[in-house]
Amino acid sequence: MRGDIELKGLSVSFGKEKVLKKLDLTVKEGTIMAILGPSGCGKSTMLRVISGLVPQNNGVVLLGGKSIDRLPPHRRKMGFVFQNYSLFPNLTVSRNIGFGMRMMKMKRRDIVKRVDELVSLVGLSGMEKKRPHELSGGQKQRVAIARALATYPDVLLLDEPFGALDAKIRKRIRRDLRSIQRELGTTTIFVTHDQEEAFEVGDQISVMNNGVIEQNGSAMDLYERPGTEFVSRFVGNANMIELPGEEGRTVMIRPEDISLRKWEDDDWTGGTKGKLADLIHLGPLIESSVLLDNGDTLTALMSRSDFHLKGLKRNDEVRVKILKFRSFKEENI
Amino acid sequence: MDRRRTLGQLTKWSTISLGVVLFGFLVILPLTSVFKFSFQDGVGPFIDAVTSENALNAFKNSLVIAGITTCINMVVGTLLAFAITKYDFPGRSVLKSLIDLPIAIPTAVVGLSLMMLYGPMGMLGPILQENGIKVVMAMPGVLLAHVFVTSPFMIRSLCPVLEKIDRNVEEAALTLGANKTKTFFFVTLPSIRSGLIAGSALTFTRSLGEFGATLFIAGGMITTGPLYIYYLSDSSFDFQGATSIAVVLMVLPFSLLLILNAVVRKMEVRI
Repeated sequence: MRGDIELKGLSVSFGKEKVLKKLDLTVKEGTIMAILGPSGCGKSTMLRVISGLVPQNNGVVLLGGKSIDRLPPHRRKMGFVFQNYSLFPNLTVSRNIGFGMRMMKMKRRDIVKRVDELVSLVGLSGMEKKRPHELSGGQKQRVAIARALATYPDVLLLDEPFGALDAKIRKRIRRDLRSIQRELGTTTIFVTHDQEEAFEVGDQISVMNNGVIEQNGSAMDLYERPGTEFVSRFVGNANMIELPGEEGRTVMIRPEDISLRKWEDDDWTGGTKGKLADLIHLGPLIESSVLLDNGDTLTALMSRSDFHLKGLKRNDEVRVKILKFRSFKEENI
Repeated sequence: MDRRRTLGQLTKWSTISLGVVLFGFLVILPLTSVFKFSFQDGVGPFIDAVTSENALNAFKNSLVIAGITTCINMVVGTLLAFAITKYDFPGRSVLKSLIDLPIAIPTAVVGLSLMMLYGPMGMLGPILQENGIKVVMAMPGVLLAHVFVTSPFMIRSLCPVLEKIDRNVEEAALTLGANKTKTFFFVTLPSIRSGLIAGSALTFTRSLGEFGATLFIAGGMITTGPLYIYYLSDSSFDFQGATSIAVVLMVLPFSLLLILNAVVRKMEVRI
């Protein structure tokens, strides 16, 4: 479609360091793609390549099927939102938001109208005359989002946009971003290292590591059917152990897929013997560390009521049953 | 407790009064004697002295030289400051420490070294002379001396503001449709404006006051304000005239600095 963005075989090196390695990615028009990855995985570099701020060594960036590689950043129509806001310090909120439209030589009347629309869209009515140093972090980021959207960009790129905000404000502004995006339907790529954030904001999530996309899918796909060990660890918690009796076969077990009972309970047989070594209270859930006889430690997650129902206590001997596991064949070679 | 507080107050006020007395003795007292001398025969002779043809010519020369020097330094200084702060290259730290060289060397040495380069015995002097370009004992030489002496002020005022510029802000402008030239004029320049103004003020006042290097290179052909003071007192023994010129050369740059400081402070508050 017209607004699809596609990266094909994208490679970027800074000196000897390879930051992107033949990366492929497709983002459908009108959707939000969340790029989830640890710091240093190349996700910011990828955004900078898309916006034209960093040239790639190899590969192409396609917008609606056409290469935009030869366009300089100011001709690409990409809205960019930076982590540290990067507002123009000498301009008011209105003039910050109107900057791109002035560069496009839009009519003054249209600029004023559009700025008004955007100010109320991002919830900053009454702040038009303020300067960046008079705003809070959350307000600054709202200005940055409005500024990036003002010129009707083909794609909105957000680079860890809420990283510098405290937890409460972050939650609210990311809901707002979601609803603004739904309203405008702008194709959006959102980069974050926070799994919760990626799951909440993204229609699709791509897990990135070491310069490549490891897996792409919905939150459900990534959590329940992780394709690699890295994805299983980065998205949620995971136990990686060798299955008892099956040497050389490492499997991934989610903590909630481990069932525990007292060893003495006779209505249950099978399973492995272990010891309830430690408990961490997470409110409604309890996370237990179980030391198996073979020396492995497993992390299990169960609800508080279940825990009490089974009469478990720290240092109890327990019977461990694994309800579900996943193995990664390519990594067992 | 009370005694300790009294002692503290005592230390405070004795430090302050000692400082004020020393400053008054070392700086204010000499200056007031210039004022006193210039007005000792009333306002009339003062006015006559500062509006004489020679005086007006000297003031005009000084203002023109300071103005051109400031313009040259704005371009050269901005270029050098950009090179030092934005790019990494071999010899960057050497260049950075050489920036301060003109502050460290005596102005007489500056004048002498320009003579040795552009004078009749110098490396470039004869070649330029053949092509009809006169540097020594002419305007170009004086300007070269002034740019030399004042160059650190512009660069030193610009480097801190350039280092503070957030590169992402310039990149934001690029993604918003501003090309590199527009980004420079709409984003980079406004953020270094305060440094540019402070540097210009320092350059202008320093140039107005330059004496040593100018004395060497002007060779009596061009008279600036400070040189005129020197000629009046040294050859004509006209101390009333000399002090009157001195008053103007004190009040003018000082008020200029005060005004520009206020402007820059207001600008920084806004930013």
